[in-house]
Amino acid sequence: MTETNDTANLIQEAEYFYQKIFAAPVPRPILEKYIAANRKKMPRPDERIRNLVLKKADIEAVEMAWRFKSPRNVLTKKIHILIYLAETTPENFSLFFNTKNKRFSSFIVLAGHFVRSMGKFLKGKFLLKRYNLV
Amino acid sequence: MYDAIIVGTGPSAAAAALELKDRNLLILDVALKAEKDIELKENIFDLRKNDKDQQDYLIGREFESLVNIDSTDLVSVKLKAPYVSHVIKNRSTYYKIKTNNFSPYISFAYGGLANAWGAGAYIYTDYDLKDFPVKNPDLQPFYDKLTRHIGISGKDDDLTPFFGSSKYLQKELDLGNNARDIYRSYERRKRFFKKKGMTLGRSRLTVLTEGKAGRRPCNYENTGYFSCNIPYVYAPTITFNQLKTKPNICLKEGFLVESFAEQKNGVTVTTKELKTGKRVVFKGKKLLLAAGTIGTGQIVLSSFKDTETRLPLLDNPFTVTPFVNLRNIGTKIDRTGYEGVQINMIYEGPRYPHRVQGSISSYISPLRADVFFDFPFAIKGNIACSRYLLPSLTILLLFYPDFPKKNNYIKLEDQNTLYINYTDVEEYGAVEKHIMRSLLRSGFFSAPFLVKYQPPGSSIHYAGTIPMGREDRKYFVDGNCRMNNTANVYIIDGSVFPVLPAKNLTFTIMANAMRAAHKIKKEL
Repeated sequence: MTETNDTANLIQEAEYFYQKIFAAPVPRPILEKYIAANRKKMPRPDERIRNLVLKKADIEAVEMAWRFKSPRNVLTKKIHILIYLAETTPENFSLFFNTKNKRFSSFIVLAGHFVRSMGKFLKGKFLLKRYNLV
Repeated sequence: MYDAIIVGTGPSAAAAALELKDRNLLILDVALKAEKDIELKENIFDLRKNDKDQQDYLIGREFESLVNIDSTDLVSVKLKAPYVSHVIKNRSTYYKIKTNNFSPYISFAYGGLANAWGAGAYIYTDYDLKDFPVKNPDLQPFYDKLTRHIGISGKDDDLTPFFGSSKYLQKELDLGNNARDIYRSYERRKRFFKKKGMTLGRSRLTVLTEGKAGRRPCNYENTGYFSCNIPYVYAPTITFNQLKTKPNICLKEGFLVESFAEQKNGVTVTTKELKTGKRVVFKGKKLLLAAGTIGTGQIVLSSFKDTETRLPLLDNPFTVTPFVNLRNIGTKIDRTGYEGVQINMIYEGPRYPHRVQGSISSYISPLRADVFFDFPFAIKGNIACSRYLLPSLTILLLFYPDFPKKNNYIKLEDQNTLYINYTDVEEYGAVEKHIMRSLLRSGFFSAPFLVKYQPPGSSIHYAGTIPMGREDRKYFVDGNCRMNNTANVYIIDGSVFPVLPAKNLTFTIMANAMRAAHKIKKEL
């Protein structure tokens, strides 16, 4: 794969992952660092990731099921890089840090995510087979 | 010829140099430094909220902080920060290290591993020193002297019988939300905790609460995970930066000590000057080895060209248990407490034959991404956990003592390769379960499957290679830290501890090094 193709793929996956996780277009500084970090940490392109992006797979579901099967899989690593970069961007501060006491609502939010995550896990198990990831 | 040559710039070297500061001293070290000496002056949460350049010191231009993503040899949260990572840089460059079941942290940095220590200052009591040829009264004057020099905050409380005390302690640090809840609960239910064998109290830390020698007190900015240059937290570099301005003290950086040899009336030290690759020999009346337990062991074996002897290796086994403080789920970020250890615990009871020591802290300043995938939810759920669960996260590190065991040793395979074997390991978990049950009454929840058993080497509390008073061994030191069969070679770091109590050893290493230097001073 040429470097141009590789860059295009990394841009595409960063845009896709960020949109799915943060429901916003990926900011340019994060995109640039995501490409650089991937080149350093995972220099070999992975066709499985390209396939997931092209097929617009439910990335949360696939990642969760894959993580439970293999914690150090390539998708979790890529998402982890994105989380590091997103967390250290001032615009995302309020996503990761709670600045007001929200005791009651936080219980409801966490309970909601528990149920949602169970659904994602079951869907992910199905998708792992569908995309031949395990 | 120098009066004394000190090898290393870690805590024991600093304490010895301080004691010998009026003599003609040579200090030799590789002394790696951070690319840039940053001091973060704002509160970590303000920096995280406003600083557009935060990735520079949180992630790094070379993505140093992402090291654990593609490596199986995991690096601690503190040591992977971009401006702290030099502390363990080149750890296997100067000599090869082969290991079996051990993750060695070896530092060639200026100030050594203490650049990234937890700042816990633990006095060894006579209980801890029962297998040592020295007792607490031998060390106490040096603990006191160091307490004045360093500046230690803390308080006399229920832990005083276990942790000792000093009349020079500064006022204790403020507690954060989770530590305050545990401490209050302990104060209310003291009889219950005592019955369970648990004693809690305030940590003694080398963190200033009052200004000292131009260093300002802690104001809870909590940036210590990302910089070595925190003026209110003691590091040996503070002592060396003061001492190296004296005309009688010569600090030579960029020199790797390879071996020593005793001569008439002194010792020669062979070094490699890293800039030129040339061998350079120095001569001193006395040699004080303080290169760290593993480094010192390597130098001793190399000096005697000994590829046969196995030197015992001690390392505090430890576990990490996360607790959720049910009261603090969904509370806002905690700006009130210190980011390191706030509360200590001693367990003494039927679930383990020796005293076990716990250190309790909150998850304040490290990156959320460092624990992101420890939450069992889908990605968005994990983001919610980072936001709402982390303010309640309370971490208990439980340290166990270590004793010499047949299969835990270091050995020189050849002149350039050190082999570390650490396969005699115990199983832990009973004390953790007991503490979990006890803390549940205080509103702190955990579960046995959450306990992480850290791989050997992770505690970075290494000791025991050239033990004090162990005359049955080929290499040992006497009660004054003089190496056997030598007249002028002293070992003054953790190597000389014959056993390792369940406490951070740094403060005692310093006190013992100062004690040895005090005796040496009289001979010079």
